Amino acid sequence: MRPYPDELIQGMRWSLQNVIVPELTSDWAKSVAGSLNRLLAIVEVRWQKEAAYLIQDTQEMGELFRTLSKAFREAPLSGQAALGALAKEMQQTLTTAHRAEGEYPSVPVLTGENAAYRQTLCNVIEGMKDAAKNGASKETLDGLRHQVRLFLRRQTDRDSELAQATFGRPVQPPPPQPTARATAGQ
Amino acid sequence: MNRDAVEASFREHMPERKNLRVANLFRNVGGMSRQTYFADLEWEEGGQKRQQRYTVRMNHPGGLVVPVPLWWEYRCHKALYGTEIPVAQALWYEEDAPWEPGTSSYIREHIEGVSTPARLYSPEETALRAKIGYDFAEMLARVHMLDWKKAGFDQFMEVPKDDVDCAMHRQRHWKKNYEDNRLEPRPAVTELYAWLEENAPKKVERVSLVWGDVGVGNFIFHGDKIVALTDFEQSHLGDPLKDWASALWRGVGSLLPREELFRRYEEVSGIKVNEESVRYYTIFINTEYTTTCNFPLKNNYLPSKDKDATIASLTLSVPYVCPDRGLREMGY
Repeated sequence: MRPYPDELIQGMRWSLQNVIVPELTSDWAKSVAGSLNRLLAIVEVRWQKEAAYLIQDTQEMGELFRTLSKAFREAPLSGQAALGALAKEMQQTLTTAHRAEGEYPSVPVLTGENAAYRQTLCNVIEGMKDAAKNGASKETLDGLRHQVRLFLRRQTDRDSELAQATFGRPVQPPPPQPTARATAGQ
Repeated sequence: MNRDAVEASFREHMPERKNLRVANLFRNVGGMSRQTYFADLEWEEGGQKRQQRYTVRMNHPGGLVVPVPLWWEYRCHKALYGTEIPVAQALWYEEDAPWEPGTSSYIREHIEGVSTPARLYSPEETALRAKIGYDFAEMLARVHMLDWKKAGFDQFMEVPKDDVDCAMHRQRHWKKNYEDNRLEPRPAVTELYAWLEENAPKKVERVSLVWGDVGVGNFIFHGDKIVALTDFEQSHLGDPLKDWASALWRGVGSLLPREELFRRYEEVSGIKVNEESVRYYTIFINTEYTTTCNFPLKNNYLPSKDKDATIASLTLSVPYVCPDRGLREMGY
């Protein structure tokens, strides 16, 4: 059905900026209008990308869970009961049916599924930190935590892209002053 | 905001001012933690008409935006006024403000000057930036050298048990706040808190009053001089180097080269700036800001019937910018 939601939002933003904002007199009202404009931009991006990102994010967490649960069950980590419990939790998250088969998944359903995976990952992060304190093989854990952090980078990039329209600041600072070392090298 | 109630409160607290009236009352733009209004007062004294501006600070009617009660900031102003740290004098506090029932508020003197960065950041103001940067480093040194016991800060702030506790008592505080108020699991934030727990600085040069939320926008300058410090809601006792992480996050590095800022600070305070600690606190401050700006989603925006879009915007900006920056600082 045309106009699509993103096309509608583009019209709302244009009208807000070109019709309503010029009529505003108070600085506070202008500031609120700026917030509205940024939020509309976010809705536009989320309409376009959120579903795809949720699917991709959940899929990547699933791969991470398979790698981690395998490592937690093998030497040298297999003796750690807490990590064994986390391996079970990850398996459970992977095998739970979060979406009804045959139905087109809505964004709220994908969000619920993704949140369940993210909660499990939070528990795994806490559990790995505690295992490191409790004498589990540091070298093995460090390698696994590195993999988790690499994933977190990708997840954060996706989240940031969806929220990016709010990041802009009304007044941009000049770039940081060059340090004495950098100046001397020029 | 009930203007008549504001006027009545000023009359009650300033009975010596004849025919006192609030000639103008308007909301300040900028700063989200509280609402700030300016009240222009007029009265008669010795046959002369007098006028003066005051600041009205209050919580948002929908609830707290920053997870610290307003009285904390009020007590900081009370404790700092009269020391060598320039702050506006806090005058009186209302737990249930007559001008906005159910909302706490306090009145303080207004200090002439600007806090918004527009002028400071304009390209032709290089000399002003350098002067303010120099001033800022001195001012921060003074905050950190303050005798906080004498000023009474230990009466309402937790005193760290040892050097490691300087970071850890705040890590525990904010982690609990984050867990209590988060609506969604955020693995990156969980990882940041885990990293902070495992890497707390073992050596702290001095337990200081930490300003907390520091940088461009949170001090007032007049001409080429800083005349007042503001925004003490995240202040606490701890490692002074945390303030440098916050200051650099909030644009102070645009005023003067980092080394020059540190050099002046070290000259005045005698506190050596340890870059590893500044890095640790950069990750800390990104985690703390994520937590503070996530808080109003559950405690203000969603439950309130007055949905303020600026708060929705806040909860989508800082809580997503900061984990990104924190991970980068960790090397990811």
